[in-house]
Amino acid sequence: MTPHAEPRGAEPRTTENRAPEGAARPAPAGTPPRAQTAPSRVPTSLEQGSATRGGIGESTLRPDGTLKVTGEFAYASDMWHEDMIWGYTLRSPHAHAEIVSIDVSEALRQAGVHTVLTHADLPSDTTHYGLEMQDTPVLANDRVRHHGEPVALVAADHPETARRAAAKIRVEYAVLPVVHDEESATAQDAPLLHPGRADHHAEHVPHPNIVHRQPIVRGDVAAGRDRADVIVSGDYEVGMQDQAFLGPESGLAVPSEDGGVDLYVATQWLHADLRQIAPVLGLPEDRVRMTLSGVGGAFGGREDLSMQIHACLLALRTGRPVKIVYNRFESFFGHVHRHPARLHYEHGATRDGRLTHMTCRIVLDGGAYASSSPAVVGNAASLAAGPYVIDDVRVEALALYTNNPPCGAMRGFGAVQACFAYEAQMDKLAAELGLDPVEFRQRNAMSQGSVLPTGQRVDAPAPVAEILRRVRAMPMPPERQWESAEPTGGASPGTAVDVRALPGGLSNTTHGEDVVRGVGYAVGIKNVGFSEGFDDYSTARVQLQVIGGEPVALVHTAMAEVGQGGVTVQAQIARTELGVTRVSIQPADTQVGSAGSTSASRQTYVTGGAVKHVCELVRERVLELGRARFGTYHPAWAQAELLLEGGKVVTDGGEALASLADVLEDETIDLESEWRHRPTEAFDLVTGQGQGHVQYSFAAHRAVVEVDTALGLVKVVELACAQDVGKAINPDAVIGQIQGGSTQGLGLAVMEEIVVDPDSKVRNPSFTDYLIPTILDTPTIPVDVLELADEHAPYGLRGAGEAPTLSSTPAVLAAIRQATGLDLPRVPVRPEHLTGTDSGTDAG
Amino acid sequence: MDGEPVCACLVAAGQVEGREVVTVEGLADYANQRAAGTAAADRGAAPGAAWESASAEAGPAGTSLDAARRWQARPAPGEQPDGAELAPVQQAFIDAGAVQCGFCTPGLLVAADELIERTPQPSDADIREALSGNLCRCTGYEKILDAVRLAAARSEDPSATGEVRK
Ligand code: FES
Repeated sequence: MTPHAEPRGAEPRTTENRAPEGAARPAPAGTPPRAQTAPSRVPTSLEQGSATRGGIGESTLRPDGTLKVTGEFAYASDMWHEDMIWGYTLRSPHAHAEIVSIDVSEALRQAGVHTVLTHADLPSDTTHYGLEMQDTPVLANDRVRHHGEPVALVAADHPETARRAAAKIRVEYAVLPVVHDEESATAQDAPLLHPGRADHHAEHVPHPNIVHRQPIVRGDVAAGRDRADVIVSGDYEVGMQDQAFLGPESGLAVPSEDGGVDLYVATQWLHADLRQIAPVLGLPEDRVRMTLSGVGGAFGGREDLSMQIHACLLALRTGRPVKIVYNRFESFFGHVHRHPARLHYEHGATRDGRLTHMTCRIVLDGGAYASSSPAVVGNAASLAAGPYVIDDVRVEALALYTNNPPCGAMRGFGAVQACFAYEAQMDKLAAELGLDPVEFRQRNAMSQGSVLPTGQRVDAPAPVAEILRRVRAMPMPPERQWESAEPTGGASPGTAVDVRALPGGLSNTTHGEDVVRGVGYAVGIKNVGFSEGFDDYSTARVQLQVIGGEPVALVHTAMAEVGQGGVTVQAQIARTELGVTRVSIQPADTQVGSAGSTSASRQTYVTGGAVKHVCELVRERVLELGRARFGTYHPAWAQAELLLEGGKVVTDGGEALASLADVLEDETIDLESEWRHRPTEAFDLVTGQGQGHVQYSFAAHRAVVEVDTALGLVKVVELACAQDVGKAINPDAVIGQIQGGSTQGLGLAVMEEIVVDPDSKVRNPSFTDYLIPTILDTPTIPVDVLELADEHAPYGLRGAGEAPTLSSTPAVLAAIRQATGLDLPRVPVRPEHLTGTDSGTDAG
Repeated sequence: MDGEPVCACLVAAGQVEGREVVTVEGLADYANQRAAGTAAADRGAAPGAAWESASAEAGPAGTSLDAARRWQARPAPGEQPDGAELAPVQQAFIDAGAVQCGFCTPGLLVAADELIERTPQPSDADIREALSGNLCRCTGYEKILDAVRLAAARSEDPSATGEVRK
């Protein structure tokens, strides 16, 4: 809580955010009536002790909206420095090979090249980095372990020069056999990815090519089997999904006079980057100053380092500012992906539809380096049973080291893979029992007070049955909607069929023949915040002063705004707590303490909690000042319950005591403090028992699809979602998160996969071949937002960003299964899986 | 395409990976230069020329670091001092919550504006078709549809919402 010096730079780039004036925005006039895209339970007048406009619960507009629609917003790839040069990364063409020799002489001779760096040039003893385990070489040393691994760096006066020079680096490789799946990785004589492991998971894993293994044992599975009237089992497979954020990895490193470096970069967690970067540069952390530049999406893909250390190394070596921007091709090699998984599940149930037991085994492919694999394993294991009450459970989850691309954080983080499998199992069980699949889920749904397989009691609302009820109650889209659509534009001549509404679209592959509709449901559970004993905290600094007669709050955190709207929420919280209208959001940098990562659905909870906490400290200071100045004039100053509202100090009865301007005069209150959520604890390595998570988040989806069964083409007609968010701090932004997350789940269901050869090479690193949903692939996504407060969280809120990514995929699959009668144990579903023309080489 | 001049966008899209190509910032620009008889020199011999030539009139490409650090919410040149002079489609994208990370926004604005100019009252199918060449990874497109509907409604009848600033 020490007052801070002014941040560097005379004119820090701040985002001014005024509360909206006038009435709430009118609904779009003249738009066609649609299903509910607005929450049906918008918050009523619960505005916490504040009459100040633009506070929590309002859909205030983004403070960076104008910059973004005018093209002025500075993304990391827009950075420029007068005398900067460009960095380029030479990457391995092999998935596994020994590096016999590297000859950089020809590259160095090319005009315009400033330097070429290899592993041998690294300046300190620390040559590896990593989020959880430091197993990733900054540049490959004697061996490359995956296709696309960085081998050498070039700095040149033009990106094209750098690219050409890199092509002149002669690397002699001796290709090694790859391990690419569980069998090859855990064979007796399997080549070890990381011989001589010394990490904290090494001693408890059954094979050195297993990064981490987490079992969970609860109750008596054998007794459960005895009670079961039906038992179903299945093998499932999830392909490798990519975050595919649109703003490529990029940043600018500027060497400074003190021998340090200033790094401007698009990342998810500045301080975690700093902790990994500084030791490799051989610098103390205070000489590596990081500032967040504009981030074009993240979704977990910026949690690990990409070009950060590389740009700093080149800048320190050349003494020039160095910019690195990946192109799309390189971006697919520049970040980790979602773990592909193979899952085996067995469930039992009684005739009356009660789950008796569950066993499962989840094998995640972590690829060549650990990244966040251990935490992904912990999530997959602890959430493997889904949002259901099952007393007798046995779970095993593990992540492999292979020569495939490294996998780590992506929205949903281990819970996505499990949800795909357990939801398929629920439908199988319901079918076996002759029960309605929604009702079957509701009978077994967890609720507040339920105990998870980890032994942790759910101590906040868990409205699993209710969100299923709500999503089912939403109106269904009309049948044969291609006929009811207006025959304009893309309509086929002479018919009333709008092919744009059919599978295949303008390819005009059907006019309704062979098109079958299916409807599917799914629900999921995701943890919020960092788990398993991690000290999860955030830091905020808040200033309050009077400028031009008006009180202004300045909020400074290191939270990475990656598009989610955290800056909007910070301003709303400051307005609510301090009763001011004008809030300035300072750029995120490492001049303030860590905010933790923009991941795990945690920033509104944890950094929002930190801003709230520091605002409360600022308010205390305002009241101290007020009491000292005016306490003798009005007895109400002695009251405990004084609030800040509308720029004034008011009593809880609404009486204004003084304006903030009068209380503060020319004083600036400036406080910084940390805030952390309730502690969690590690899962036991044998039984998996432990209070591992701090909060859970629940979403349910109903998917309506139409399948051209002759061609195997799928059109998702509607993807309805109901989700409990505890408290919608910004209802519009919450809906945006739910719709965006649902769409990424749809992508995994029907199109998104990084295809990796059996020799571990990536086959489709481009947007031509790695498909993400376009606006034609994405249906209407009506959203029903429920707000049941979690008393342990700030304002009762619940992290919202990830849960919709879980249940979307299995809901779409359930709908396709209903339409086709096929098993479909693997995502993404491709046309050949639906037409029976699959060669079977890569399908599960 | 080895040795051939290609648009730099192909490099950015990863379509010429491993090829020895010469980039030209925009083939139209290249065509102009060739027509003027000035082009076709190997641009690799003059590093920097290719990327900078297209934007020569607009000053150095990109944004200077100092300018980037000074960036704040303010009207662009030519706008009213109160910053109200956004085009209807720009304002609609902000109001509808169609902007998250915003990386996709400029392209979508251009496509949406062109659509509304051509089809003042587009149906949802029209909007989807017109925007189908633009990717967005954040929003799930629903609020982008809202924004285009809103912009179209405001363009058609500015008095209806009282919100159009023109
Ligand atoms: S808003 Fe991020 S890609 Fe569209």
